[in-house]
Amino acid sequence: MNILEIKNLTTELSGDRGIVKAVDNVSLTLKKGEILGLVGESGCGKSMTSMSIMQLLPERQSKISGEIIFDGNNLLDLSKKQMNEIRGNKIAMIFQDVMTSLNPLMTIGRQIMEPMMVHKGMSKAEARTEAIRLLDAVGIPMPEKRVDEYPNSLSGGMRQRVMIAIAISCKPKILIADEPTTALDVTIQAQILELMKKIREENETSIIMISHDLGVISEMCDRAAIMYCGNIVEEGTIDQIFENPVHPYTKGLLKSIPSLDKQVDELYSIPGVVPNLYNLPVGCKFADRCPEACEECSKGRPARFEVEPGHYVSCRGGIVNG
Amino acid sequence: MLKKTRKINFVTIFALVILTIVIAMVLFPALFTSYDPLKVDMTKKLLAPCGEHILGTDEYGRDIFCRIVYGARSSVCVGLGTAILSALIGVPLGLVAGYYGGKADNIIMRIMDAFQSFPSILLAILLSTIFDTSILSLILTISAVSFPRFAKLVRGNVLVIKKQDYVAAAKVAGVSNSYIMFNTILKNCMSVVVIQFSMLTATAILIEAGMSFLGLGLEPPAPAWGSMLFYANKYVNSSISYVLSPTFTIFLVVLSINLLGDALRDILDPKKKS
Amino acid sequence: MDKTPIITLKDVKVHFPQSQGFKKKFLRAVDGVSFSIYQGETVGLVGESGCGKSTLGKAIVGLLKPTAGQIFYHDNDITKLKKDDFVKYRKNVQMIFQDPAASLNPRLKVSQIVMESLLKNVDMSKQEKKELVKKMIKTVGLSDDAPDKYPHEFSGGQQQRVGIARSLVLNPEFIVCDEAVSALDVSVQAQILNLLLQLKKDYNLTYLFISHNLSVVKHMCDRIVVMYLGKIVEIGSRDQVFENPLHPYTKALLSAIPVAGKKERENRIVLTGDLPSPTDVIEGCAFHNRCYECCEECNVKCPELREVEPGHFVSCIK
Repeated sequence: MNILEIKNLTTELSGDRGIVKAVDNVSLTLKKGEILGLVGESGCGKSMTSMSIMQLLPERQSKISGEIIFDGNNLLDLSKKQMNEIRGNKIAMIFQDVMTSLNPLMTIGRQIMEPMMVHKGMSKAEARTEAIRLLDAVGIPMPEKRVDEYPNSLSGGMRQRVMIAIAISCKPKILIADEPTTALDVTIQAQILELMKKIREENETSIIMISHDLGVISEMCDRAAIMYCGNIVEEGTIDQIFENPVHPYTKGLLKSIPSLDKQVDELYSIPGVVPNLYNLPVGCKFADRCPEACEECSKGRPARFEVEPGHYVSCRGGIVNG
Repeated sequence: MLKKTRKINFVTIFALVILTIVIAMVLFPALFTSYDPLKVDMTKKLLAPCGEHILGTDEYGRDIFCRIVYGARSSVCVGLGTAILSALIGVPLGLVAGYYGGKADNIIMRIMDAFQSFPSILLAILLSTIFDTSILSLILTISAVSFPRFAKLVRGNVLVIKKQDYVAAAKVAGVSNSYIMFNTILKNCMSVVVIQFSMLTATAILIEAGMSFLGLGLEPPAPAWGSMLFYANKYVNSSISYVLSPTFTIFLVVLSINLLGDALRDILDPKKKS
Repeated sequence: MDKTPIITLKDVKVHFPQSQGFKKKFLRAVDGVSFSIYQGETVGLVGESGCGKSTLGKAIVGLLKPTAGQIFYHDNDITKLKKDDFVKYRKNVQMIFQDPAASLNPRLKVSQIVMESLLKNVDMSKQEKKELVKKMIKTVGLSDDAPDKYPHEFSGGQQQRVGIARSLVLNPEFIVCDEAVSALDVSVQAQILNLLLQLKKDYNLTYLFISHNLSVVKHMCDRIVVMYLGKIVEIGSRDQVFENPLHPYTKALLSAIPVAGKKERENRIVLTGDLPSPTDVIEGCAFHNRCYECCEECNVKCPELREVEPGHFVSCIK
């Protein structure tokens, strides 16, 4: 069952040198209880996609078009008030920067209780009991004591746990995690990833996991979408993407990570640099850097097609090869 | 939608034109007017603007436009002089205090506090009894209370900048401490220095006007915008142009200086160039 | 590989005083570290944030003064060098910083940034210096118009190339790479790693490669030093550390890295708890509160580094 359907989502932002398409005609589906990975390098539009879903972009500087269907409604058609009902309640989000995402002047408990009192109409006492239960659920020791403390007494990993507790407090159907472990150390990252998996099992929450780390994605997700310059270039199950990558960009990315198993003298590196969003090529955005590009590639944008069931690629070469 | 930022826009050009005129007034006042700013003519007291006297005359029948032109010299000297003197003392002190920290920082900052907490009016009275009121004594008085602000502002910026990796990188490159202070760090503080400089120039002109109100400004009959405002105050009812002329001049010049400061900051920032 | 040590650390300590209210505490960023770096090798220094790896790197290039201990460059103790001798040391020991954007002065052009290294104590005419700067900018793979541009006109990868040119222009013997690629995207990271390896061959360099990314360290380094809370927990060759990790912390660290293309890993070790605060004085082994192999003795006895096999040291009583 699809819980979220994104159709032809395009987000335009106005910058100091004109308008850029940060998200360019993105279509995605998220199934119930699924973890979907959104991968790409900085500036590829992965965070902008999630900000568009949540409608957190400044209105005067952005234009979102397309459809985001959730619960039978197009989120883009909803009023501000209706959107506030959904945000933090049915769709929740956790962010990368754990040090600044919590209010330093409010107790941890208060910050967890607030969304429950607003969205679920809980009384203060109820919310407090629930907050303690949640802190316990996300693995914070001595929750009865911690609930009255301020965030500055917590380490980065603990703060991210609190952020997760806030996000799941209203039992959201979708949790968007924007680089949730990038600011954390590997051993702490492992803890947080375990916790997110546990939350998915227990509540059947669907998770959109945004990351630049292919390792995290391959470990956490059921399916993944690779983004490049605002487009999804490849989408499929984790096995499809990592065992049988089709798009030259995906292949290049996978080859350029140093491996723990194999030792090579020189790493593969994708030639060239990411094109400027203000000045994109007419054809395939990856054509200039692509080792498999042909003349056709620089003429028009490639169409999206299905290589195998559930495995989609936007590449002209794919048609020829597959 | 955000517009492209042009290097020099209309507002900047306006400010430049005004300031060019003012500087011309300072250097060659005779070009602007054929009157003598000190010549008293009691038959032409408090005239309204007319063909002969475009801004009218004051209570001694002196041409107001002429006094504004000749007053530019003392006002601009007080403004710029104060800003330059304060910057020359304040910026190095701030750099040293911020960069070395510790004891040097503590000593310098406590001295700055002492200067700032000293009442400026009392200082002005003291200095004027010692020196007679002159442009120099005004510059000294206003600088004495303004330069600590320069020092504190620069110090605050240095504290931020010295933690940047590029300062560490410069140290690894083997350059000297003074090079780092006066080149690496100062270049990156320049925007706040420029803004503070332009604001202080403007403030000093206003303070000079304020001191004139207390009778601590330049002594008559020497023309200065501040003292003109002080004397015009008594004739608000009889001659409105007498009050408005120095007011408007001060306003225009102060505004232009601030605008130019903003533009200069943008020009100094390479990120805004391309 | 000939075994001449370039850098030798002897019981180096870097403590920072921290005032908390009326009490004065010490943050033990580096707490008694000894090891050597030999000519021509790349030593990886790994550990989590706050373990003191960057502080140690800064102490080696002379940006920080060690509280105690000695740092030898060949046979000279750099903590006792006079000013003139220190300048010579500077020429030979350089650093590449983590954040390429923050490590380049935004007010200077690229050529000026690289030139900064040559300002002092280099016997060259102005023209020669200019030529050298140009050559260096080219060597690191930047285009011909790069010298006249400002740092913000470049992408992260290109900015890091500028940083590399700056440290290379003095023709150093030894370079500390402090998380040199961790701010970069994967594909750019590969380019910079390749460049660093190429330059190592061309200029006969020795690297201390500080990183939290173990797969990058494995790709780059010959020997690995693992740090935890200011102390070394394990030293060994790349194969020793990766194939046969001995310290429980090293094992946990290795098992925690998510690997692309591997869904589930067998026997993953997930450590519980957080790093203790480095201002607290810990009795016994620093790792004992998170260790899954901990015994009672660990709570009281502070383990010493001991050699388990040739070149492989571990500080664990087991």
